[in-house]
Amino acid sequence: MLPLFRRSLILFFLAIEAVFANTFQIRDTAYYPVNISQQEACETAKINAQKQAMSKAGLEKGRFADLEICTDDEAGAKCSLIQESQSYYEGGYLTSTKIFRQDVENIGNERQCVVHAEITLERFKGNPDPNFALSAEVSHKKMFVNQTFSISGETTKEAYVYLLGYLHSKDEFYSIVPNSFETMNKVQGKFIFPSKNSNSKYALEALLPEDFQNEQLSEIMLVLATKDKFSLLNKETAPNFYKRLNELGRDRWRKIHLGYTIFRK
Amino acid sequence: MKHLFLSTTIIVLSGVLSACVTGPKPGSPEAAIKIAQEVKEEKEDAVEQIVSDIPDWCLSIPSSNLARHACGSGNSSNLNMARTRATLDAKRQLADMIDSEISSNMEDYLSSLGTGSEQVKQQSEIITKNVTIEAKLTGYKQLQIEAQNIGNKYQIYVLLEYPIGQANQALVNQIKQNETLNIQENADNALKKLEAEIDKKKNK
Repeated sequence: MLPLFRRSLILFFLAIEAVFANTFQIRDTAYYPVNISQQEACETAKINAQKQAMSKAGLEKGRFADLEICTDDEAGAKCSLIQESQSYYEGGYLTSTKIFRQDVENIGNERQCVVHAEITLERFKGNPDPNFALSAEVSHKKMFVNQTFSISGETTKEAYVYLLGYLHSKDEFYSIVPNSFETMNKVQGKFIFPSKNSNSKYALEALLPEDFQNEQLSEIMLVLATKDKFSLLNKETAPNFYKRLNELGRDRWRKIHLGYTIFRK
Repeated sequence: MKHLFLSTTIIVLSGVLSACVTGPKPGSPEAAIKIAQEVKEEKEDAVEQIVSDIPDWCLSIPSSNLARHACGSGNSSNLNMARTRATLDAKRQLADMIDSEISSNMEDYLSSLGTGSEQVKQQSEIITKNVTIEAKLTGYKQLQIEAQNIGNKYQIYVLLEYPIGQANQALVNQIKQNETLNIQENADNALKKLEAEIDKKKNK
């Protein structure tokens, strides 16, 4: 009786895991024109494959809005159309991406990189707390090298607020705040990094990597607010970071990705 | 051989002479008008080419009781960016077919121009807002794709198919249950941002 009970228990846990984790066999492509390298094209194809996996898991969301404003007077009618399209992925995270084949093929007159990948993702457990909101923005979305900037935002509930950088090439997050100049305190309401107490001690400065050749670089940062203290490592892979966040419980945190572009002077 | 050289020289010289005679002086207003005219013609040519080169599968979109189809187009000097834009354009159309809310608001008002002779004019303004509160972008499939060169840019056409079977609906319901609050909040924030942007434009 006891072994049977144990087996049922194990099966039950496996079933629970299966609800949250999904593995997909994906084939996706990206164009490989003459002005980019094969590595760049295949990296784009890999990202497309990851997006496709997120979409297949039901984690792709979209929001679209059209606004048409027409005025009509003696001079005639004038209309302007404003469209906003958002396609985003949320509710889960990628745990592994295994590329098992990568080819260059021709499609019409264009070349493309084709990747075949096995992608596993995990859904966040639980539901977000609708009364726990977070907003954040970067002071400049376009910056020149050596330009300083700040991150400001607001939380509706008392929370610890963290700022992390993201290294796409390594799929790693690295901690920016807290640091030795900016200690960790719970905040409710508005916040800014560097804070008023610390802005004479450190600054956030836009820099390009030393070996970077191009004229501009787009990056993202992550602002994370947690109701409980969440320890950050100096560097942590994205899957591990999200796994720990998932353990915290979906109603205990909020995050916002901030994008910006740095231009060489 | 001598004849060939002579005739070539004459053709080249006549080309130079005709350019001197017919072309406006560089930097003159006439030259600026000519450049603007050329740019306009290039744009018109590009538009004509885009219209004439739309793939057949984009002009006669498949229809089915089991799926919705949309053809999106995107333009960029970056080929992969053009593809992303085309896909997003098709997703927008699919979302619009599935679930969208339209509201419009018409205002008629009189405004006066306070100069010299007081002139009162009537203006009407219509604002039409079409918002897809939540787009269910699960399970769409790319059926066709075509890339074309338009000048120094790429034009991409993408045909997407969105199945409307029960399995897809079940998944959508599941996502809705889990994420409604989260998405609603995102949607509200995005809408506020958009409306603020429009207010800014109107006040300019």
